[in-house]
Amino acid sequence: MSPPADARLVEQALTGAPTAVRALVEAITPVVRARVARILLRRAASARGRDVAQEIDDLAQDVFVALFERRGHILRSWSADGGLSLANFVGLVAERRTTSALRSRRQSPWSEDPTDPVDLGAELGATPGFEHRAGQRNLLAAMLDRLRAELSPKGLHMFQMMLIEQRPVAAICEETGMTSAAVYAWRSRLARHARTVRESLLAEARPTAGGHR
Amino acid sequence: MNDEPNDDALLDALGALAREREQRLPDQAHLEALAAGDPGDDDPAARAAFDALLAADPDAAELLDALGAPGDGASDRFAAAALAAFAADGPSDVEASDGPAIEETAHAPAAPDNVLPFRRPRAWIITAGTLAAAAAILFFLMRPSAPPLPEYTATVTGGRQLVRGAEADGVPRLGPDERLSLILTPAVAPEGPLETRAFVIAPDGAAHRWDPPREISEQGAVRIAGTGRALRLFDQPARGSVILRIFVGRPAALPAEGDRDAGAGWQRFDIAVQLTP
Repeated sequence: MSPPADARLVEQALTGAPTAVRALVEAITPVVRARVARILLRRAASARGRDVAQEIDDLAQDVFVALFERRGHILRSWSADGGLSLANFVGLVAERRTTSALRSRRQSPWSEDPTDPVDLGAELGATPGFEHRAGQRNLLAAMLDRLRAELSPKGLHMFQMMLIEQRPVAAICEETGMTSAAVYAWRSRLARHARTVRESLLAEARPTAGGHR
Repeated sequence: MNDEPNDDALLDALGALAREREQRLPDQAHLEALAAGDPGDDDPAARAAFDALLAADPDAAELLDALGAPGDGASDRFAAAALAAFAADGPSDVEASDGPAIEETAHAPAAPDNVLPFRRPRAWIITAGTLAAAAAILFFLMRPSAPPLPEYTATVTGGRQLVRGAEADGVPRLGPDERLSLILTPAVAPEGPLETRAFVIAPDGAAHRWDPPREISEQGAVRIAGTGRALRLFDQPARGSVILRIFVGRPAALPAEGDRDAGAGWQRFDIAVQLTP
């Protein structure tokens, strides 16, 4: 759909009219289910025996709740001329919500690169070698999961463009309409957030790591 | 590693790991096409991507099959959940924030139990029409009175489900630190005063008065949400298979006893849970 058509669909759905809400839900359901499935795919091997069909639909439903709760607070923040298509915006919300839901579940069978506190603890030591490298990788994996769960849709989009796709600043400016200074500010903000997450994970790992030494 | 990585190195490493993960997965557009009912048989690139994924990870087959076949009534369920969420006004929470502010607040201390975050790990939309299929057990009784109440729908989320299969019984387990959210949403905003009264029905049938924190929105939606402890479920004596019984209606009409099943000016919702300390 075109951005103006998306904007009309969202505007009508935000009135709360059941027909309009249903129309929007039906339009974005493939995006939501696909994004949920993509996140679960990263973890498929660790979820043998689960009812994955039910899992996809439960998590997709959770995404719709996130989009519409509080009178569509999150959905209302999408703007057709804000640099993100509706599909991409919804996809990023789905990614964040699903990652957060999976992370918050205790003993989730969907864990991605399960991070053993002992492995994280290896990051704390100064000893070079395999254990240290494994600890670093697990720490990075845990950081990535947490960032995906915590960043806003806008933050995730900036993370995607800057760090995953490695797009030049000029290209990001062109797509988003932001100034280069604003893009650099986002990079600083992402770095600050990543450091905070790193410190938080290391702090969580410390007591357990000490116990294993 | 005690030496702090610099910002560029940290971000580059995160980006590299994210790229490595992305490369193992099919393109998002291919998955969306599959979710929309197009198996991608006419698209060699999509077919190759799926084949490569299946070769590398046979466990992905079931998930891709599931993606192409949404559950019966899934669309209705999504729309009902969206409508219920839209109607239920909740307090501000960190997760619902958007934009740069969220990066600043995401590591704020966890909300105390009396400030209830509004998460829904799972949701069951429950109406009289979907009673038989509901994951939670609910008995809905309505008696018209003056002024009439609109029909309420309950959305129950949270708790911990057993792995589906032989063990599954559809009843959520709830411990002191696990969350449960119950939202009662009226079909239209009711006029006049509204109140709730709640009981925990023990396995032996005894009704214990239950006073969980609850909110009633201007639109008449009722929200009871929080951990088992915050909801004061473990302050009362019943454990095991219990029924959470909530009456919603006119303050003067609400029953004083928990065993009432019919009356004027109120509706009753029963939700079965397992309280597991």
